[in-house]
Amino acid sequence: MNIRQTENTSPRANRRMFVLRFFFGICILVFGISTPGCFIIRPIAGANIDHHQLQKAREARVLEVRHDGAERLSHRLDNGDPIENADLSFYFSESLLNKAAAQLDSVTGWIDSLTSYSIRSIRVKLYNGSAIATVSMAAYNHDYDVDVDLIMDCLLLFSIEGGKFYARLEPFNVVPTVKASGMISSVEGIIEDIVTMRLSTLSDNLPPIQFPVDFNNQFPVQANYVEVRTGMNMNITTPAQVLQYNLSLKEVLIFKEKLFIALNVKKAGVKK
Amino acid sequence: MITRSHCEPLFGEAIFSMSGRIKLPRKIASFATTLFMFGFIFIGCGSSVNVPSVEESEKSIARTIPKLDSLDRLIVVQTQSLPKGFDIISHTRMSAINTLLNGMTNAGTNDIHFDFLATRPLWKEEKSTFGINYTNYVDVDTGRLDVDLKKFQFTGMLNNIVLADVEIEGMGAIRVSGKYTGITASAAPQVHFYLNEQLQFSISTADSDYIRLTPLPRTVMLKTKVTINLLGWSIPYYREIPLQSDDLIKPVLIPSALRSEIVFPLPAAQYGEERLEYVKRSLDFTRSTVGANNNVLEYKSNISFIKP
Repeated sequence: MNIRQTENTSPRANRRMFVLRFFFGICILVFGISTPGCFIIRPIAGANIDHHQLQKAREARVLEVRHDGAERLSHRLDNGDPIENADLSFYFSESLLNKAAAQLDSVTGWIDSLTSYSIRSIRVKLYNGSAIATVSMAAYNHDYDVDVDLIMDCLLLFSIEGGKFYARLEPFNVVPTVKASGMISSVEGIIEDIVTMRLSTLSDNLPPIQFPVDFNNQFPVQANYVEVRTGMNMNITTPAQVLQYNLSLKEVLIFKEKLFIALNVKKAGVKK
Repeated sequence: MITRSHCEPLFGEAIFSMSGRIKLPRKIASFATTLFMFGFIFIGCGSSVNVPSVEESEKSIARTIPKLDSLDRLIVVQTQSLPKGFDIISHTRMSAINTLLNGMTNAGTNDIHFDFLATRPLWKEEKSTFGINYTNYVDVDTGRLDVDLKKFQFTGMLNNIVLADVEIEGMGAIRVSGKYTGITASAAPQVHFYLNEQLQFSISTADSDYIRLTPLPRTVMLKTKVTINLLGWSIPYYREIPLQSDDLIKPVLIPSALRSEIVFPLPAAQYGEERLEYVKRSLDFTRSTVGANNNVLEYKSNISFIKP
């Protein structure tokens, strides 16, 4: 219904419209009183809040996270052994992390059987002491036709599993922008569900970012064959061997624009 | 609908439409009702709104930035010597490679096999007794022995040259036959091999997965000693057999831990038990360089993901 139509109606119709709207307002009020939750606020917290306020809140939270990380890193650098005191050390650039993270751009997954999500982009920034990924994504509840656009600030948590090196996304700021169709009362629970409950377990459903390295490694020693025809005729052969070794993660440190990981050789032997 | 674009018109329209034709008291009444309604809901739900005010956030930002800047400055000073400029830089300590090589040298005593072929003769001498000329000779018929790689250790890395000590030693029996004073006989003498040399390796990137250490060509001596006793004829056979180092030792491939192909986890496109599905991604390595200095092997490269 548009305003121009309203303005062109008669005073009588106008009065009827006013009563109707007043009644509607009262209904909303009664519903608001009777509902213990915050059916409007929750979506508003993500969607209709002052964007400037939201931006400032995000900025403050990100700075807090960065400060905590920088403090830990500074303490580590002041204490303990030199950072490269390890059998193997790797430096990964922020650019490489972004190239790996970009493999997840535009992919679609599922939070549950009714809620899918689509990752628009993941951008990683490495600061002294913290790695923060900004994930832009959309969650969509198919049953209720509810879209939740999200911006998530995630800490990157690094781990080695089965020799593979992963960065897992752990959201600490989730900023939903709700888009929904249908009546407020019918979608309120769904939005709340998506925004508060399901997104809290979103990190379990998000795929990790895999690095192009494998630390559970093998060291091939090539077979060799030498023919000796001087003095004593003989053939010297060295069979191929495979040395297997495992590495243990010593530490992961995050510096501005680079990620450092240190590993030590844990076990080495010939593969039988 | 409760999107920003829907939510605002829903309530905004009620207010705006009142501003058109209706009288002021009604407008005020309606506006007050709406205001009250919003106020009630906002107050009632205030506790669940976790977003701090702009002022609170700005205070927090103003408090944090100087502390963060100060920490950043300290960290930058402490880390300015760290390498940069490539997607990946790896440092492998020589001691780590030796730990791996020790795993091989300590594994057993049958690292290298020597297969003896017929050598005719291994040794011979022309003799004459009472004007009768004859030849004493010994042939190697066959034999096989296993030799232990006692040591293979890198001892230094400097100016992109890697030094290594190699020591092999083994002892075993071979079958020999021959004639002594015209009498044919055979024996199984002991043979002893020993090699202890220092080798040099040059380094290069084999491919993405390995760093190649290639032995520089050099003649090394395999010391061979056989004590043959044939019908009382004692023949001390000792020779240094020249071998080319690049024949004896094949290039050593040091794993870089990098993979030119990885299986990348992606979310499963269809809902099911499996939340992830895996796709292969090939990687392209460019500007790869490798260096060896101060007993550290350094590998640098830039990496691109090749999308299928």
